[in-house]
Amino acid sequence: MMKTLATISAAWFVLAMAGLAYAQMPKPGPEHEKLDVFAGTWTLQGDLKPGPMGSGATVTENEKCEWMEGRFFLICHTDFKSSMGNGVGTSVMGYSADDKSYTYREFNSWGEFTDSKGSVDGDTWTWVNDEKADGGKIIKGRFTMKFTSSTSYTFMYETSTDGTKWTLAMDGKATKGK
Amino acid sequence: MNIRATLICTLLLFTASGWAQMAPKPGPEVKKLDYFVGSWSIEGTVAQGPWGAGGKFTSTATSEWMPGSFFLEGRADFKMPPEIGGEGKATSIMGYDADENVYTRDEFNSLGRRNASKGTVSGDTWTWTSSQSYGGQEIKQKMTIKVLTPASYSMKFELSMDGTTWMMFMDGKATKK
Repeated sequence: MMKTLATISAAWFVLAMAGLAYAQMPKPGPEHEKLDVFAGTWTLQGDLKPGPMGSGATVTENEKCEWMEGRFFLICHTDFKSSMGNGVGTSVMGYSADDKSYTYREFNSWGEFTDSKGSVDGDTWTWVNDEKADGGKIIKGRFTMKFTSSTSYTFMYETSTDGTKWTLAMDGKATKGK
Repeated sequence: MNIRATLICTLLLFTASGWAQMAPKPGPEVKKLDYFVGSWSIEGTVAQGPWGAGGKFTSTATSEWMPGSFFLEGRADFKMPPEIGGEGKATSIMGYDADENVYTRDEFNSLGRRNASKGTVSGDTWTWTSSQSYGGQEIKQKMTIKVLTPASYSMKFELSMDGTTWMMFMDGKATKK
């Protein structure tokens, strides 16, 4: 009985704190503001690298990213075209103060979704994720974006099975529209 | 950037299967989400509690299928008592994770909260569970939706610290416009 009362008291305390947290209306921090570099309309041109069973391909994306009200989350809608197929995607970028990392959640018209965590160091953003491939094998992905100006960045996408040895799968350039 | 699509393209490039063989189609589990498509009006009551005196909760929400019909993208305007957030907007995406055999619902709101829920459906009842960190303490959340008609459902939103004892936070009803 005492344990139950203690649990309820603790719950009320935490919830009271939660209420207080909301009473002090949250405001986006400087980490959120850094995502502003992605806001706007972008065109990405990428080259998928040839491999043992393929001769490479090109990928083109048109992307529009806008802040949600509150400026905590940036929502991007993307059309992508490649010789592998075309599709559309919706992604949401944000910042987790708990994890002290950027977040990227993506859904696309092929029925795929993914979670990535990001970090920024100077002009370079790095996003990492784990994906389950056929057979349950985990493939690590690393998407690196290096801003070369306020309206352009280069990117490369690498994959790894062990997190140590990385293979370049794609590189390219993004240009901001006017 | 479209990280997932990039990975898929990469995998396709390194396999002989090719796009034509892969072309995915939504399964019957995904189709059950069709119930939530459309414009909904939600009215509820936030219970009195340590978060404040409670009060009225209202929301208007619209959901539509993303191309491909795998994910349902929703937008909502909501209004609740000021002490727990007041007015705001939310974007949500619902889908089905075939690996885990659960529905997924990701919500991002203008108060800076991201909520990732996992859902199940049994008969006419949907149950969505999630957790949120408040001041470093994880609070478990449970939203139970009971389908009343094709155009209405009742809902209750409960909170718990231990996943055993649940406190009613809000209940209400949604009506399709």
